[in-house]
Amino acid sequence: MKLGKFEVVFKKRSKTLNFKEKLQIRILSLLMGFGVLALIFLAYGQNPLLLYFNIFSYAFFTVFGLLATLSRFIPLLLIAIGLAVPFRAKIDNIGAEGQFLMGAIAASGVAIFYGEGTSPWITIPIMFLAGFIAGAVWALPIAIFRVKSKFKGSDVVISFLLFFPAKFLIDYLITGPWRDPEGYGFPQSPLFPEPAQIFSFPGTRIHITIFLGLVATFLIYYFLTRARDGIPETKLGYEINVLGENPEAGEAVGMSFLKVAIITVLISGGLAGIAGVGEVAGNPNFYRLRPELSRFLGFTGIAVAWLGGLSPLGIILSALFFAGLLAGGVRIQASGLPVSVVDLFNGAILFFVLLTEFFLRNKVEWRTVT
Amino acid sequence: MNGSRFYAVALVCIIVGAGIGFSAGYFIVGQPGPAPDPEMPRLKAGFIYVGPIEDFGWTSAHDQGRLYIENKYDWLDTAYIENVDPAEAGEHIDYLIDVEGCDVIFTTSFPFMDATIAAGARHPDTIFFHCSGYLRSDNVGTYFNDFYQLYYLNGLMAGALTQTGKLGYVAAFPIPELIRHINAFAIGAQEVNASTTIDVRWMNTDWFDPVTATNAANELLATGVDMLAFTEDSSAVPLVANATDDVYVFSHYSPMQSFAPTSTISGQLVHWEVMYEDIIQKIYLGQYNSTNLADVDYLWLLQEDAVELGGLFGVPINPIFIPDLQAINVVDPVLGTISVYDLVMTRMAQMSMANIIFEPFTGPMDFKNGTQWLSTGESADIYTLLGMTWFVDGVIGIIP
Repeated sequence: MKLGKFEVVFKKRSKTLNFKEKLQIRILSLLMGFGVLALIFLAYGQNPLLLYFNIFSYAFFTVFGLLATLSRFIPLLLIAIGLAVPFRAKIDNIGAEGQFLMGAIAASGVAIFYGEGTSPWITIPIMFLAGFIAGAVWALPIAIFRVKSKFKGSDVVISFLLFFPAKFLIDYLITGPWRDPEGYGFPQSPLFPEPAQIFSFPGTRIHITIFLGLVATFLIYYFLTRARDGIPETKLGYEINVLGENPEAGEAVGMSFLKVAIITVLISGGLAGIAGVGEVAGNPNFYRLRPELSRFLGFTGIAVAWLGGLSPLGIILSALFFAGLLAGGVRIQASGLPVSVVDLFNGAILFFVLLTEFFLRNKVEWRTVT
Repeated sequence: MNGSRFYAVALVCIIVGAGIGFSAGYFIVGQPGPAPDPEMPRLKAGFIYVGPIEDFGWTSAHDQGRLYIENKYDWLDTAYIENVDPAEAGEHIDYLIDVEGCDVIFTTSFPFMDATIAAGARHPDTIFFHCSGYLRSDNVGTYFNDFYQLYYLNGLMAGALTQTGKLGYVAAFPIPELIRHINAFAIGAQEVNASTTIDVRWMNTDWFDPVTATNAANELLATGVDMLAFTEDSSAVPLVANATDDVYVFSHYSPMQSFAPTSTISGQLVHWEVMYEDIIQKIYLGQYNSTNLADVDYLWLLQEDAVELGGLFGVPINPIFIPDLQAINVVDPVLGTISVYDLVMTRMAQMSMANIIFEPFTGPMDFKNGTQWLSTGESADIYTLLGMTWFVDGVIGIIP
C-alpha cells in the first residue's frame, strides 16, 4: 500500500511472540485507540486526558463507580473466560449472546414455575444448572459444524445466527405463554418470587454469581491452561493447544478434535448461560424476563477474552477494564458531550482491541519509495 | 524497546497524564458560583431518560418539559442522565440521589418501573414519579399523557382522505399503549369510511430506529397503503411520506410537519411541561410527599391540555388539507350530515370539555374475530384501555 512517499508493507510474523511482546502490542494498540478518541474529544473542545482520568477514577476509585464496575464485571468475566476455552482450540464461538439469553430463559422458567414457596438454597442452584445446560446445548451445534462441515467458517456463522432464535424466543415467551397476567399486557414475565432472586451483598448490585465467575476462572486455569514451560500440564489442556494449532496433526496421534470441540463449546456456552442466569435473576433491575436483557455483553465478551490474551488472569484484568469502561463511560455525559460519544468511545476501544489480533499476526513496516 | 523500559515509560506517561488531567480539571471547574439564598427552600429534580435527548421524539419531549420547569422556577434545579440502559437503571437513580443530591426523581420509561419501585424502598425520603407504569408505592407515583383521543381524530382524517382505503401503522413494540393507539386510529377511520382497513408493522427493535421504521413504512406502501401513522421516535416515517407522491402521514410526538410539509395532515403533540409543572409545584408546596403517593396516578388527555392535535404546535390540521376535509360529508347519528372537518373539530371539543361527552371506544364494537366486545352505547373503561392486548375489527396483522 502506498501512502505518498512511503510504502507500507504488511508481513506475517515468522516467530511466535512471547508473553511480554504480546502484552506490549496489546497495550500499544489500546493506547492507539485512546489516541484516536483523543482527537475526537479535542474536536469537541474537551481535554481528553481529563476525560480519561475522570472515567477511570470514577470507575475504580469511587465506591459508587467501583460497585457499578463490579456489577458489569460479573457477566463479562463469565462470558469471556468461557469463550477463551474454544478460542484456544481455534473454534470461533461468537454467539455467546445467544447462549447468554438461553441461560436466562431456562432460569426464568425455573423461577416462574417452580420458584414460589421453595427454598433459595434449592431453587437458585437449579436455576444455575438449568442455565448452564441451556447455554451449553445452544452452543453444541458450533462444535459439530466446526469439525464436520467442509466450510471453514461454519463455527462463526452458526454461532452468530443462533443468537436470533434465542432473542425471538424471549419475544415469543413474554408476549405469549410467560406474559405477566397482572402486567397490563406489557411484554414481560411475572416478577420472580423471592426464593428465585439471587442474593446480592447489602446495598450493592454485586450478586453472588461473582463467586461462580471466579471459581470458573480458577477451574479453567487449573484444568486447562495451567502450563509449565509453555506446555499445558493437563491432558485436555494439551489437546486443546495441539488441536488448535493443527487439527490434522492432533488427530494423527489419536486425539479426537470432535471430542475436544464439544467439550470446549459446552464449557463456553454453559458459562455464558450462567452469566445469563446471573443477569436475569441477580441484577435487581430485572428479576423478570424482559427484552432489555440482550445488551450485547456476549459480543463485548469476545473483546474481553482477546484483550486478556485468552489467559485466566488476563481475562480477569481485561473484564475489569471493560467493566470500568462501561461504567465510567456513562459519566462522559457529565462533561456535556453528546451521549452518542459514549457509544463511540466503547466502540472504538472494542475495535482497537480486536485490531490487536492483526498486529499479533502481522508486522507493519514502512519504507520510503525511491 | 526492551520490556522493562517500556513499562517505565508507560508508567511515567500514565502518571503525567493523570496529573495533567487532574490539574486541568481543577482549573476548568474554577470557582463555585454565588451561594443560593438560604431562606428559600430548594428542590432538585433528576430525570432518567431512556433515549438521547436529541431523539426528536419521546425523550426530547420530556426534556422540553424539564427545561420548562427549570426555567420557570428559581427554586428548582434539575439534572438528567440520558440513554439509560434499563439493566442499569437502579444504579443511575442512586447516582442522581446520592451524588447529584436530587430530591425528586422522574423515571421516564416503562422498563424503569421495577427499578423505580426498588429505589423507592431504598430511599424512603425521596419522591419518585414513574412514567407509564402501573406499580406505585408510598413514595412512587405514576404519570402519563396519552394520545388515544388524538389517534382517533387522526383516524377520522385518514379515513376521509385515503384513496386506496388502506391505512398503515409503523409500531415500535407490541405494548398496550400502541395497541390502544392503533385501535383508536382504526375506529376513527372506520367512523367516516366503514370499509377502511389498517395494516400494522411491528418493529420490535428499538424506540429510536430510523432504518427499521423506513423499511416498515416502505413495506406498507408496497401493499397499497396511502396514509401512514406511526409510533417511533425519529422522523423516518414522515421522510418516507415526503419522498413518495400521494402518500400522507400523521406526525408523532414532536412537531414533525416540517419534515413533510405537504404530506403531513396532522399528528399528535405532547405537553409534558403541563404535567411536570403540576407535579413539581405540588411537591414544592408539600401536597405530595414521600408518604402519600400510593394513589397518585396521572393520566392526562386533551381535557388537561396535556396533549395537542397537530403536526406543528398551534396547527391542529395542516391548512392545505382543510378544504378537502370540508368538502367530504358524512352522516353521524347524532350530529346529522356534517363535513369531516367539522366532525374532527366537534369531537375534539367534546373530548376537551371538563365533562368529556365523547369516548372513541364506545360500542357497538367487535373484537377482531367478530365477537362482540362492547354493546351499543357501552364505553370501555380506562383500565381496560390501559391493558389492551387485542385489535378491534378492521385491523390487519397480528399482535405478537
